[in-house]
Amino acid sequence: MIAFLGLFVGIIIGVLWNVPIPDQFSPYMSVAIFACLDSVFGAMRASLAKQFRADVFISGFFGNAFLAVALVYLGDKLGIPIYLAAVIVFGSRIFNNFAMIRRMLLDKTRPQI
Amino acid sequence: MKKIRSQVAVAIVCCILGFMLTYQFRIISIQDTKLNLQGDSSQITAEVEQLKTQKDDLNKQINDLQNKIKNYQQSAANKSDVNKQIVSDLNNLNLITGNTDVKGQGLILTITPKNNMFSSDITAQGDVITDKDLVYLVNELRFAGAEAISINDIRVLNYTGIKTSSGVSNIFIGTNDRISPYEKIIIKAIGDKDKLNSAMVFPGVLDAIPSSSYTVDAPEKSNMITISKSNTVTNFQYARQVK
Repeated sequence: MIAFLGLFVGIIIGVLWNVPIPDQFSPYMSVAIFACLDSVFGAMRASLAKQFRADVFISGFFGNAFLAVALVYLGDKLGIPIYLAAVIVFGSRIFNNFAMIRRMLLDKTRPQI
Repeated sequence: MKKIRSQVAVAIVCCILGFMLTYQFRIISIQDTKLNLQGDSSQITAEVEQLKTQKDDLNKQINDLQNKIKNYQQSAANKSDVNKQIVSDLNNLNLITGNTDVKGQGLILTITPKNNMFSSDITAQGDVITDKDLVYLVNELRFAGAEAISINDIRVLNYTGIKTSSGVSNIFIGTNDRISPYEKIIIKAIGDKDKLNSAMVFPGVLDAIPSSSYTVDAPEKSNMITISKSNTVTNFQYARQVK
């Protein structure tokens, strides 16, 4: 609940506050967002499994985003599209997490036999 | 206590995520509008095509009208000797001003860009033919008595400036036509073919072309070269006769 509240506040800030971030950071931002989404899905799964730990979530959130951005920057300098690796890994992990969330939710709602 | 703190931390993190998402959406939409402002490239290509066909049509019209004028002149010339004299003067002037197609003996110079094995394009700035090289060659030809010169079938007149533009990607011949220095360049000149030839093969003259990226064939003497007329209209705006 409080997470959605935070998300909502963030969206409002994003709409209202015009922060000047240079255009060339935009590809880094998108990869960072992907990494963050992955962390959020992981957190949702963990909370459903009752294994959620805030410190793991927060460190994963920033760590993943930072690592992804660093990889994209390195790929830019080396001329290899490393961001593809980040996108593929985070994408597959998001789908995995979603599959587990789905299963847990279905298990919960299934009438006990 | 610890639970509240962790929940606040989660809220802050989600807040950051929301902010990043909206921000990114906004940047992408701004970039899209910018792209739209710059215009669709296919649209521009279509426009270029359209203008090209328009230009061809207009050139055709010019040719038709000039033929008509010629007919009128012919019929006028048949009437009296004075008219005949005037028409022959006019024809002479047309030859000089480049308003008619001309033919005669002369020289053909072919400059071919080398296909570099490692890079298909000539990249080094110093290895590309520029306006200066072409102007030099044209000047040499003129000095050797060339009466009509064309570069890639673009007539070079007294008033035709030659200038490199867009870095080294184009060379303008006059204000309307341009050639690419990365494609074959054929310079035709009508005049005394032996004189023109000796001017071209004189040691050092053809060295103007960067030999690292172009091959220059030996100048080809020909007994019949046709050089088409100039498609520019020369109207003096400023120069007036002194009375």
